[in-house]
Amino acid sequence: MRRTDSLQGSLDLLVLKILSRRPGIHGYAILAAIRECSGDVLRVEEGSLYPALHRMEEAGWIRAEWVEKENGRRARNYELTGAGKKQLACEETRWQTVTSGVNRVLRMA
Amino acid sequence: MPFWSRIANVFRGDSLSREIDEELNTHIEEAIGQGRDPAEVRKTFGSSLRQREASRDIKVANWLDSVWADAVFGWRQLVKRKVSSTAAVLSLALALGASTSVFRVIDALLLRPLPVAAPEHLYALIHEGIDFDGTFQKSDGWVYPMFQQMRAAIRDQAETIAISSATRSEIKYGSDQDVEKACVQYVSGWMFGALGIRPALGRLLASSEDTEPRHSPVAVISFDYWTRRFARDTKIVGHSVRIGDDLYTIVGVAEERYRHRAGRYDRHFPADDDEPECSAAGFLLDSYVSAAEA
Repeated sequence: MRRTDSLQGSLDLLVLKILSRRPGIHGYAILAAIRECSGDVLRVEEGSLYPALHRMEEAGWIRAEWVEKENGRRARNYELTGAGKKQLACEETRWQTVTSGVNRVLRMA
Repeated sequence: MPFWSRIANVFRGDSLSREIDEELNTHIEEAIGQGRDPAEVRKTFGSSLRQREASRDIKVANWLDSVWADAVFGWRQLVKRKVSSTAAVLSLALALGASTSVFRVIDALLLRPLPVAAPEHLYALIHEGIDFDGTFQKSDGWVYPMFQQMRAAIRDQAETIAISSATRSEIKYGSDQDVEKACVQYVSGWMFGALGIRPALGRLLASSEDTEPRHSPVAVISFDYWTRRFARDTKIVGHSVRIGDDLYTIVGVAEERYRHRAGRYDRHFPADDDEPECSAAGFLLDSYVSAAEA
């Protein structure tokens, strides 16, 4: 599975889930975490991660904070909001419904 | 509040773009630090401008952003071409002023009804004919005997009222020797009644006052004149005023909303054929017919 956004909405689900486990990490760390947790199967494209992060921030699911790093650069760290936790629960349920539906079709066919 | 933050972001566009760039640069440096090929990382991001625009579109209210951009552009154009901008602003101001004053005239003359009872039943009488010089003439002036004949002829169908043109005359109050100037207008006795004008003080002219010979002529003053000359003194009723050789008694003040169509009048007198000015053959009156039923 090369492209993670081939299933609509799965990128949001992945990012929200990662942030619920590891609050306060920046964009690059989110990408690394997704790759690591999926056993190097899922690779999110850099180009699609940041628009997704900014969209979720505007929707109020996540909030960002600038943090000074050791090398003097600033990094933008993200964490889940209350609304984000609710959204995560929704997305998880939806994902379960979709995949169980797909599985059933695979078994039946 | 996403809505408000999107609106606020419109006005901090530059710092917003810088923040987006900074976040992306941090990411790229991090990736290079992890041992990835710099060229490959940049390639995965694609054009940094397109990346920035994609994030920017999410963060700002687009409609407001373009309105704001248009406003900034317009302001720059105005500042750049000072002369033509000034000319445009001045001509707009002149046009506005001209339209406003034309509208005021039209409003006063055509749109607002006359401040009288049943203005739709009021007709002005004019006569047309060939002059002594052989020229065609139209006039709304009538000699007083003509007015009397017209009034007698249509007595049962309509009220006829006559109003003279206002003239500035010399007047004197009581024993006061100082001569003042005021606009004086002669009207027929039933003028106030037919136009539905009520007195603000005292009484107005009675219908009989210009048809029966009387010994003590009376006058009505306008509300404006009462305010200006007498500071609304209620004791003014009963005072006498001398105009020319005659002594008049002020019997009342007309109500405020009534202004003559010329805009001002100071005094009204009953038009009377005993009155020297009126009986003079050349004295002209504007005549109006107020029809009771159209």
